Amino acid sequence: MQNTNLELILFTITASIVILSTVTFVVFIIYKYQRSYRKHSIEIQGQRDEYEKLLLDVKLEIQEQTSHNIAREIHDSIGHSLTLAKLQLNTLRTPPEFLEGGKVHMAIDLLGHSIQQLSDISKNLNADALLQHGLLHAIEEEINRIRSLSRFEVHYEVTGFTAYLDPQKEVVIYRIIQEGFQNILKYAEAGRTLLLIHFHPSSIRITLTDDGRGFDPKNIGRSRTTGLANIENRIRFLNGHLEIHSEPGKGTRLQFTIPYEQNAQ
Amino acid sequence: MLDRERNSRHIIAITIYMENTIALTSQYITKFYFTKVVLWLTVLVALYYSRKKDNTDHLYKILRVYLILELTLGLIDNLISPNPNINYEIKSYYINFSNSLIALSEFYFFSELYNRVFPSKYSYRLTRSLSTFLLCFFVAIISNSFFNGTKFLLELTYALGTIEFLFIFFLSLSYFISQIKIIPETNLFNRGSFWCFTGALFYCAISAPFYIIGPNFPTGNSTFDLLLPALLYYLPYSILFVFITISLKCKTQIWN
Repeated sequence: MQNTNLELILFTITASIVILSTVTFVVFIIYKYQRSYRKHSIEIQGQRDEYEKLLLDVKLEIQEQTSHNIAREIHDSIGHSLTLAKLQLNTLRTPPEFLEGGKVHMAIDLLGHSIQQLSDISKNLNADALLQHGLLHAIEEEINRIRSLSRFEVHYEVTGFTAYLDPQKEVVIYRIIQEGFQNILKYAEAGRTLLLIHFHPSSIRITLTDDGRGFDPKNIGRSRTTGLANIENRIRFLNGHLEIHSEPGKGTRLQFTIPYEQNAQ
Repeated sequence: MLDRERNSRHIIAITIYMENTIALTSQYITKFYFTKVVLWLTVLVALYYSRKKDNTDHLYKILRVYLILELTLGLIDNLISPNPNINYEIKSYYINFSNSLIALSEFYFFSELYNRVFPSKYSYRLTRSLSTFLLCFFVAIISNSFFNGTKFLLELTYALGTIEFLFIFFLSLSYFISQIKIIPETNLFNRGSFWCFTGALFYCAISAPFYIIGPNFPTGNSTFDLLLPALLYYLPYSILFVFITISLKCKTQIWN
């Protein structure tokens, strides 16, 4: 009887040791594997993020380059031809007011108007020209252009110590604001808009608010418009943070923060 | 009149026989603290989930054969073993035959799974040679016992089971050691092969002491003799099938 009990104890001890060793072994392997897996996943994610950013960078550069080329073509080719045509008409011996019942004069006026419009478009497309006086000046010009459309009131305010940003960053920020206004023009049916730019020591916070018809941000997720997607992509490219507050019938607030390093100029 | 009486006697005899069989079978089931029922249920669940996988794949076919053998042979064993009308020789022959057949299918499944996870000529040759050897060994001992009696059958099938058991244990260990060396691209818990080999490793590790004392079984201590198979054989075996079910529920294939 005593012998059986001893055997039973020995057996239980052996079984427990074997089971415990196996559990320890498996847990050790799982721990090692999962740690290595997490490290590997972070590496892969980092590479993927870098690749996506590079892709976005190239995409934005191509976009800017294309806009630049179109602007140059408009200015150098079409603009030039129209100016020449206007000059030719102005050199007529008989004053245009007396020719064909004033129709020639009207044509010259239309040509002048078209040349001005083309010049505006060309300027708008050419980021270098646009930003030669800085981001805030370019934004002011954009606001003036929108005001001239008389679709809604535009209020504009800049606070904080104005900083000079990286030119590439300025172009992207300018395009985001442009896209924001385009969205308001297209969809919001707004009466008033407010653009607030606040410079923090290491970031810039831009808020674009309208009192338009608004939307449900949860639903927009599935059918995200190209405009909003463009804004998101550009903000992501600048390592920024975007917040969209909107409700149907209660307008929209688009707020984004872009980090920057002081660029001494 | 006489025919009707004879018929009713037959019916009564069959009813009594059935009642006895059911009573003996239930007694046999309860003997191992219901762990046999747990085992069948886990096999049944694994079989259900295996049906959802690719029917044409060779590995899933082997798995299904293994599960069906485990379930049907186990259920038949439950009817034969407690039956006093069947002689000991037949019972012994059946139990050893079915155990060896299950061991062989288990061996085929795990070696095929290992070859899928780590495809190499060396392991393929090794598993193929061993499986051919085990199959020959199985045919030899079964046919020999059929013609010359079951004198050495228990020892021989035990040897076959031990070889199979040790080999699966070795495969599981090898699988886990290899995990440290490979570049981890997927979460270990989402890999079917991980669950299969974890189940196999636990089953082997927990059942190892049971296999060691196997030839001296039963020991004579009634509690010991009932508790031991329940805790160290049926329960870890059920856990193996639970783990196989988890691996079948993984989104990837079980060899990933």
